[in-house]
Amino acid sequence: MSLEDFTIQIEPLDQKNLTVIHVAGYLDAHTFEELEEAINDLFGKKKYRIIVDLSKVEYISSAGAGVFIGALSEAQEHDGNIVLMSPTSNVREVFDLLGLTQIFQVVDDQNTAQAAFQ
Amino acid sequence: MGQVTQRELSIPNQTTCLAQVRRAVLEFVGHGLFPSGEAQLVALAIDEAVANVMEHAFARAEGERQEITVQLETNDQVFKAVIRDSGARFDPTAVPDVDIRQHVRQGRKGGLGIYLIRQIMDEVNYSYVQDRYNELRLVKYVDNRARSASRQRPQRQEGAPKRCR
Repeated sequence: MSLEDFTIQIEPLDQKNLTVIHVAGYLDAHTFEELEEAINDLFGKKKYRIIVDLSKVEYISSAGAGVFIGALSEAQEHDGNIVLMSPTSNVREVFDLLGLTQIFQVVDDQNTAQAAFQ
Repeated sequence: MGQVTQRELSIPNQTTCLAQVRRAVLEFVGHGLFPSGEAQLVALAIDEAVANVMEHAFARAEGERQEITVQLETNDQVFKAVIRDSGARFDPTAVPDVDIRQHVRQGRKGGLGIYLIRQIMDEVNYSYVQDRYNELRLVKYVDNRARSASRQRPQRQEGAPKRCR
């Protein structure tokens, strides 16, 4: 993967009306809108129970983190949630600096992520 | 005090260029000036500063003719970055610190970049120079005990080409 690559894959799960968004690459002020649109698209389909797989995100800036901040309250207002899964150490450090690990559920694997939803 | 090393790059006002800025900063500080994790954070701080210019001073109106310059300098004891642009006057240091819980409740995203910059860098100063351009000065002091003394940094590097792609 080159420095500028950024991909998103949407994986609907059979269980609990969950959706996993697999994000890979660099999530910055250039790429965040693509993720924002993907989440808004899910909201438009009334899918508010979202797991974001961050295991292949190599870099995140505040623009990327802002996508989750902007979406969490709307998801929760519709009895949903946004669970952040398997962030790399770089990404987790940024979450820590922003205080997001105190607010979001950040989990290590998909089983734990799925269990976070009732 | 060590020898002064400098690098300057100019980029157009395009978010595709943020990757180039990060690479340049990492090349500059990543040769032992800071430990790896700290070097990544310094690159993040500069990325945030430049992204703020694109979003606020240039109001997200991307254009190749609008230029942002990033000057990097170190004398092995302190790292300095100066970000300049001729966009609309914008003082990021006037933005108050965010209350992250309130931000999440309200779905707000503004102010996160300068919040990160303040956490990563030791000094953050803004001035509007000659009524013409924004200048943000960032400083981070080097913890020499943590430095890898065995690695060498290049003495001077050429400025990067202006086009990113």
